[in-house]
Amino acid sequence: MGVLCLLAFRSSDLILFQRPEHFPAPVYNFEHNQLNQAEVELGRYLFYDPLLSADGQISCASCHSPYNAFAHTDHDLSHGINDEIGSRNAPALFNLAWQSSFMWDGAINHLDMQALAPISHPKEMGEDIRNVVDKLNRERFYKELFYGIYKDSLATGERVLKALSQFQLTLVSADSKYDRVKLGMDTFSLQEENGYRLFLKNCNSCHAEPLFSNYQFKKNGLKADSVLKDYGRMMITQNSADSLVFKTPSLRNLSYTYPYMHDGRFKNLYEVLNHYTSLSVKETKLSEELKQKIVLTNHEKTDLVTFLLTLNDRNFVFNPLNKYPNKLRNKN
Amino acid sequence: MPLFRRSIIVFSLFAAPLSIHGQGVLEFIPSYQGRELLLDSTYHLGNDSMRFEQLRFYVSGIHFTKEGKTVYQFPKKHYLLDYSDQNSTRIPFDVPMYFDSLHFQLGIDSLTNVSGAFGEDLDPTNGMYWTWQSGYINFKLEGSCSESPARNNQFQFHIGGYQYPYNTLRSISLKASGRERQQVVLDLDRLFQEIELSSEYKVMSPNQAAVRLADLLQKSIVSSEKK
Repeated sequence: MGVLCLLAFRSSDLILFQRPEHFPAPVYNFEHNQLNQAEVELGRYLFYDPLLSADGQISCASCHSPYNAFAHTDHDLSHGINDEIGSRNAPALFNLAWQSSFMWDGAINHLDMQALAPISHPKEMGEDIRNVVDKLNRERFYKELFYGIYKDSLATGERVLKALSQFQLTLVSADSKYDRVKLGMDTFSLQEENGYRLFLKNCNSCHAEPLFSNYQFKKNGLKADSVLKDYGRMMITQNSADSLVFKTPSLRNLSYTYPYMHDGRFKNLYEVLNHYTSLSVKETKLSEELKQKIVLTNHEKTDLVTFLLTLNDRNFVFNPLNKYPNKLRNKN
Repeated sequence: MPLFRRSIIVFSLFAAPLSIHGQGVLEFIPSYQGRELLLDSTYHLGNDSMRFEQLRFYVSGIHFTKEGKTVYQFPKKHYLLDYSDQNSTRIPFDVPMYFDSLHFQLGIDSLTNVSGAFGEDLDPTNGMYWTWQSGYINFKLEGSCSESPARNNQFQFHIGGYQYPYNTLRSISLKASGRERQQVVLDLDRLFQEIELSSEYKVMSPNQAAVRLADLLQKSIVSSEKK
């Protein structure tokens, strides 16, 4: 009896989502959407299914590829249906349970509601959640999945969105060299150690460890692109103080997620570091954290980048549980 | 008087069985030109014409009070009223012994707005949730008017916003006699008296104009009962 209880306990929800020891408590309210294996799987099918788009060509994974830590490597701006090009760099998806707002400008206030934006955007999936639900309700593959989970084969907006959240909540990246060092299973090289020291001094106030972002909105001195004219959070709050304010992204998995910044303007990490060290703190309006000039020698930049590369989580990026589900290929 | 003619017929049909079961009906009635509004019907006002094509809004936290104390809470927290589906505009309730006031909110509260996906009346497939920015559309009114300079003379009011300074949720309290038939009137004549459709024909995001319209809506919702 005791063994059975233990097995039941160990084989259920805890495996689907586990807070890494050195992480804070997640902000996502799991009570409102309790993870279970079947719903996570449903969410995974939906995430990879181009049925979500108007022309059946674009899935979530088109711009959020598992092999790029769910970002869109090598593309500065996201691509959508009919070869449309969006106005922002697709952000990487991991550790979403610790985020309380989504999008570069925080337009979305909850992970459950996030998918509505790309589904509806004319330059992304160009679809409507009502049509998505109608299409799902016509497919036997999904009717069976929905029946298995809800004892009722009906797809609804709520079920679709929550299942997508469930899959995305399981995308926890916490197995980088940095994490192993924190948990006492590995040690930094001298160069990494020096980079870590420089990171704590210059970067950690916004890109706070262990998530490597405080997920707040900051003004980092980037000028608006003359074509995109993207003023960031101001477009959401309609407050001029939020002009050119964007959400701080995590620094985990940087090797897989280039190019960088909200419009993908920097191709490598040295360009990013050069931006911060060349900021004119007197002339540019900046967030408080950047008002102190960042000074780094070339050697220090190399050390800092060496540390940042310890945040790559290869086990996360190549986790077979996160990749395209083969059953989807044969669904019809 | 003509406004309530149809309601009176409905009342006589339902009155007998309802009183036996202690069931009442709360009805939300939009009125225009002094009569119950008809969707997809063209109204004329001098040289101008006006047509309403869609009217949907959320009503939340409906309850009756007697001398300030809650005596009945409606079973669902949120109701989506859609005038293309007349059933959704009549909400049944168990008639409490005594009550003197009706209270509700027009829209969806901020906590619900930040708590993720919900089903039924709150399901985003209802078209009452913004996709480019999180938040419920509390009130949606669409139609056309000869004064509107927009394409096809359209006007579109999607009123929402749950965050300061553009919070558009509005509380409403009305006098209500203790009877099984309760009618709440959305007086569109009063609303459109304050809207200059030649310049104000499109409000579709949380902003100052949405706040102003939310205030106007609050004033345009009245009890059918004489004060």
